[in-house]
This record gives sequence, C-alpha cells and structure tokens, in this order.
Amino acid sequence: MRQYIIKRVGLFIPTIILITIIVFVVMRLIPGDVCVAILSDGEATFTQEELIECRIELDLNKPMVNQYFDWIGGVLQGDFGNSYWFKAPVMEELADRIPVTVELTIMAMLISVIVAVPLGIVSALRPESPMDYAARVFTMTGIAMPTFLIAILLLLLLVHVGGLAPLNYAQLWDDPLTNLHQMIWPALALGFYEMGFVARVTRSAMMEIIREDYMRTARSKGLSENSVVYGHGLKNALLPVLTTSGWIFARLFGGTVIIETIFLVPGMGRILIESIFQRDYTMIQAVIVIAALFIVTINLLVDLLYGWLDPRIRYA
Amino acid sequence: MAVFRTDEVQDADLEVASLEQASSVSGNLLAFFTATVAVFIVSYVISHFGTVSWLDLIIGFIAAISLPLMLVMAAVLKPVRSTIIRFSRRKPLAAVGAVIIILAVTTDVYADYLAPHDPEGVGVAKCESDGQTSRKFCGPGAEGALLGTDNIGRDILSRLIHGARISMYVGLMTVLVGITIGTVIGIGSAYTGGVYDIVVQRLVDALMGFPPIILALGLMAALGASINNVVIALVVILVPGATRVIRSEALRIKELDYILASRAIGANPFRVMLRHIMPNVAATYIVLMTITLGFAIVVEASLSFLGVGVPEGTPTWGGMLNIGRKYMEQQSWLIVFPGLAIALVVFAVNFLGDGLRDVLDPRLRGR
Repeated sequence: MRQYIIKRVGLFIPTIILITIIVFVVMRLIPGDVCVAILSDGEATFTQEELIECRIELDLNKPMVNQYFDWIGGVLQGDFGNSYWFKAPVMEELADRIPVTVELTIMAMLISVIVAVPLGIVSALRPESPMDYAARVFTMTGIAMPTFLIAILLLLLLVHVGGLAPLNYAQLWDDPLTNLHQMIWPALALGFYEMGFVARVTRSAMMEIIREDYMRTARSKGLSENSVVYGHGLKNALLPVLTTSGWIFARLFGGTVIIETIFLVPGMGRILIESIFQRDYTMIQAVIVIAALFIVTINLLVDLLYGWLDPRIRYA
Repeated sequence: MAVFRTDEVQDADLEVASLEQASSVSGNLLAFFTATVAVFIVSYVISHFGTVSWLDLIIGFIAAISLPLMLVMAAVLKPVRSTIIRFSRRKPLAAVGAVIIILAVTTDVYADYLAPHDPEGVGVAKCESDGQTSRKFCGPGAEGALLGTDNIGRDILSRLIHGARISMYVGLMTVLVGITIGTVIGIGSAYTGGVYDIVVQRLVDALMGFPPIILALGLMAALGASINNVVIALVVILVPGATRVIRSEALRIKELDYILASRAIGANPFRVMLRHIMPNVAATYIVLMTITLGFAIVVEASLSFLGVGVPEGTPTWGGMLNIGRKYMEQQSWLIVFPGLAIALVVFAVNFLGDGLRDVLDPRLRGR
C-alpha cells in the first residue's frame, strides 16, 4: 500500500504543475494581450499611457517565465492575484463562492447516487421486467437531455406549480432551511444526468455480479435473498461507481456553471461566466485552476480509496 | 475503411426502397461509393467556412449533389445494403437514431433551400394579439410562421433549420478532428513508448483534470467567440480522452505476433503503425466518434446557451434557448422547439453510439 500511495502521489505533483502551465498558456493565447483585450473591449479607444499602466498593474511588463513564477508563488500562498474588475484580490470574491459550488456539487452527487443505485439494482435483479424497462427509459432520458434543458424545464415547472425559493441567497450556516430550499432544485437538475449514468453503471455491474460463484455460495448456505443482494452483491456493485466517481465529480463541477447561471446561485460557476463577459482574466485564471485542483485531488483520493478497497489494484 | 463503415450505418433509411433491385456490383462501384463519401465529407467541411462567395457556391453545390448520390449508392450496392439491413435488424433503435442524424445532416446541407425565411430576417410573419397586429411573439401556427416568431419577430422554424447547421457542423467537425488527432497521438505514444509516452501521458492526465466545460470556457474566453474557436475548444477537450482509449488499445495490439512478424521483415515504425495498428483500432475509432458526438453537440449548445460560443445573432439551438428562457413563462414555444431539437438529436446520437459500440467494440461498454 505504501508504494502504491507513493506512486500515485508521485503522479499527482507533475499533473498539478502541468495544469498551472496549461492555464497560464491558455490565458496567453489572447490576441494581443490581456490589457489590449480589456481596454479595446466594445471598440473603445485607449491611450498608450493607459496600456502601460494596465500592464504594470497586471504584471505583464516582465518576461513570461517571471510572470509564471510570480503567479505560482502567489498561488502557493493562496493569492491568485488582483481582479481588474473588482479592484480587489480575487480570493476575496471567491472565498464566499467556493463553498456554494462545492455544496451544490456534493448535493447533486448525493441525490444522483441515492436515486440511481437502487434503480440500477432493481433493474438488474429483474431484467426485462416492466420495472427494468421503466428504469432504462428514465436512464436514457437522463443521459440524452443536456443539463441546461433539464434545468430550464424544471424552472418552468416550478414557475407554474410553485415551490421556487426566495431569491436572496442564504449561506448554509446562516439559515440552513432556506439554503436547502434554494439548493435542492439546482442540485436535482444538476444530478439528473449523472442519475442516468450511475444507474447504468450499477445495473451492468450488478448483472455481472449476480452470476458470480460467491453469490451462489451465499445462497446455498441459506442466506436470505436480501442479505445475499445487499450484503454480498451491493458492496461489489458499488466499486465501478466509485471508480467513475472522480469523473462524475468533474462533470458535476463543470455543470455548476450552467446550473448556477440558470438558477442564479452565487457560486464559482456564475462568476466565471460574468468574468468572461467582463474580461476579468485574473478571475478566469483563478477559477479554472481551483476547479482543476479540486478535480485532481478528488481523483487522487478516489484512487487511494480504490487501492485500499481492492488489493488487486495496488499490485497491478 | 473507417469512412466506409460509418456510412453503411448512416444510410439505414433507404434499405427498403432498393430491396428488389438487381445487386451484382463490381469492386469499381464500391470504390466509387467510397470516393463519393470522401467528396461529401470534404465539401461538407469546406462549405461551412464560408469565405469566398463563388467558391462557397460551387462547394455547397458539390455537397448538395454528393449527399443524395451517397445515400442512393449505399442503398443500391449490395454489400453496403446487406450490412445496413443486418445492423438495423440487430439494433432497431440505433437505426432510428441513424435516420434522425441523416435527416439533421440533410437539413444542414440544404438549410438555405429548406428555410421558409431568412433566419435573421425580422417581421416575416404577423399575428393578432390583444386585438392588435403584432410581428413579435407570434404563437405556433401564425400567418407565415409555422412555429411562431421570437422576441424580435424572427421566424423560429427558419432559425431551427439554420441552427442544425451549427450543431451538426460543430459536432461532426470536432469529433472528426479531435478523435483523429487523439488516435494519431495515442498510437504514436503506445508504439514509441519511452520519454515521449511519459510526457504524453502526463499531459493527458493534466488535461483530463479540468472539468470539460470549464476548460472550454477558458479557451473561449481567451480565443473569443466564433464558430471555429468553438471547434478548437472542443477538440482540445476531446483529444485527451481519445488518446487514452486508443493508447490502451494500441498497447495491446502492439504485443501481437503479426506486429513482431512485420517488424522482423524490416517494416519501418511508420509502416507498422499505419498498416498494422491503425486498421485494428478502426472499430474503436468509429465507436469513439459516435459516442463523443452527442457530448460535442451538447457542449456546443451549452456554450452558445451561456453566450460565449457562437457569436450572438447567429442562429444556434443553444442561443435560441438562451433568448427563450427570459420569456418562457408566457411564450413557451421559444424554448420548446429548440429544446426538442437538441433532445432529439442527442437521443439519436446516443442510440446510434450505443448500438455501434455493442456491434463493433463491446469492450468499450460502460465508458
């Protein structure tokens, strides 16, 4: 196990360094440079002095390599630079927003697992039954409908039926009830796609496991059907869900951009969109790096957990 | 080979019409069919760039002619036709998906002729609302606009038809370019090994660390809104996944005896990769293309929906939804039709992708 951890963490570090380099390079793909893009926004004219001033403010007057190391030095201390739009450190604005997005993602993940795993199991235990077909149609719908379409339809339904939460956002620790009321619909819309995906993975895993020898042994020693399915089957059926969960988390995290825009949730995703329109490149850069760091860390944890649960992985 | 197989499947809808026709064909005709397919793909891609007007006209014309030619030939040629029939018997849902995709591509190619009005034209229809004549927000069935008009009086049907252009073009183009680049890198990385392989693997890991939409948004923010920038952003997010899948496939093939044999008689690495590994990952390549096509269409629609994809004003399904969502309480048709269009196409692509995967490459199940 120790070697496995060392190997896995050893892969983690170069990945993170590469991620920061990629983000840094992408932000230098802007035609001209950031300052030209900001100042010439909407056909505006600008003077040479303004350009120089802006470049000094954003540290663009140094060589590229220095810029990168200055930026990384800051990032390591939690300082992602100053926003050109807010005229304040990026982290000040993001500090309140990161928990919102993380909460939304986790809620969506929980919702999709809670709904999808039983669905997948029922579907696998009685293949070709009406229940199975119903579950599969539901799964297909979940996979084929884009997140934003689900979100819009849900919002339309809420407008007609009622149940919309108050608009002023309440933090989880200030007013848990209002917060949950505000977050439940966005989380449901966000989790809908993954519901289909998780149900499909659980179903196919369970279908394979049912035919395993240890399931027959469990039955032949007289265990009740429930303890065979839940005690022996479910544990193994959840392994593929666990392996894909890093990926699921990444997609949910990306999906928050759309959900937060539609449901007006003040999270990281929404500020990313706003920053793109305001050409606030420091903010864009920070949000992308933070998102990627989250995903890579989650993936690392999932891998370690998987190695711990399934010894075959460690020695592979 | 690759091109040939996709099209057999895409042409599922014409199989019935030609069942009774005579069916002895020579290899020449088959070669001609493959050539038509190639001509269609090339003219289809070029016709979307739209820079030189007279050239556009000619190339659009070539695409408009080669599409039906391709479909008819697929229906007439016996080997192609029997494959189609076999496939549609085995996977009827996938065949339905293929028909919908062909219809969408046809809509795309003939958009200029099919659309009743100019998609950007304002005030093409009129209707009565609250006792006055209005040109905006006409409901479906209004005079001159079958599916109604939008917030500034543009015809929704025409915009939907032209929206198919963007969705299908961006989807097909990114998948074609992205998966091809991924395949080339993946095979190279698996066959060469060593430092090159390690570098590629770390890069793939890093790129896969980004949530796809967020990376696409970052690229769009840097590159600026335009159709071809959407294609570039999507290619960047598709390449790492394709590289990883193809690499693992190529690693397995590399160890097989015929590769050793071919190296033993002195084939150079490029020949081995091109002639021996490439054909053996062809099935995976096609399956990857169909599986990711739905994803590409959804991401393009999401970007346009968020207003950072295709420039505003250009009719796209995502953009139409974005406009419609402001008025959805009263004028629900503004979101219903583009929403249906997206859902239908994505459904079709997913069904076709699943069917092809089961037939061509069952090992990719669950990805």
